[in-house]
Amino acid sequence: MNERMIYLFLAFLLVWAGAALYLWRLSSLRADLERRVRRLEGLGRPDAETDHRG
Amino acid sequence: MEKGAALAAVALVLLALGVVLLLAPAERTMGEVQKIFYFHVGTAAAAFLAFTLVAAFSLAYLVRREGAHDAAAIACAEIGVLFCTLVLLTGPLWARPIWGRWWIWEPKLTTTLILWFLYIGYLLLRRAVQGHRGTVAAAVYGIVAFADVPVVYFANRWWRGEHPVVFAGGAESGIAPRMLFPLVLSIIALLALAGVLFAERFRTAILAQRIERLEHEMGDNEP
Repeated sequence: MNERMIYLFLAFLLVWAGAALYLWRLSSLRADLERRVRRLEGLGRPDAETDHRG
Repeated sequence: MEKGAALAAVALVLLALGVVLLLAPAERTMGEVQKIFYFHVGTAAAAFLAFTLVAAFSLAYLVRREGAHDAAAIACAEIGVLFCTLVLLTGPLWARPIWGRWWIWEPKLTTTLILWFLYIGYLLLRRAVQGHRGTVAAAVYGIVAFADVPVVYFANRWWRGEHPVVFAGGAESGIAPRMLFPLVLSIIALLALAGVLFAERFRTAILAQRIERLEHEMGDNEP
């Protein structure tokens, strides 16, 4: 492979890697936040005590 | 819908790659490595747009105090930093084989690095100062930091520099007609990718606001 093509390949790889890593981080952050929302909404319900025991 | 948009953006980026590799002509003196330009300009366009939107949403937040505007501002700031990082990484990959150096302290590169630091500062400010005070401070900062965006764009028109000027730079600037379509397609593809990332980040910011509200309400209800 032409040495200069390596730079082109690296540039494209960086764009993909950057976007993919960010998306992966966002999806794990979102899953964590959704869990917290469910927990907080569960605690806020009037029958939350029963739910926890049952 | 979310998955469909993400897949469409990925398909568009792959299509742009195919067009760049197979249809775009190799530049006469630089050869194939010049094709980094298509991703470099596309990521720069996405970063510039994201930072412009940070200022717009920050201003909207200061006027209307709606949480959605704040969520959009933080989402745009993160996307902007991501794409500005890619600009700062793809640039040296072009510079090394062409200039023989990874980096030179010339106006465009230096002001872009300053831009990156400014928005890293924005993200750090958001982490450091929580609550309403932090949101207002970040909104003001987001508007002030935007001042560097036109400076980066015009840097090599205002001051002599090594960075090539492609658009509206006088007789020595311009782009070959056969390079225009791959460039426009690459810009559209990378903007679409940025849009998908923005939508995902915006949703997480809205969720974080909801958690803050729920925790606040629970704190108020405690005896």
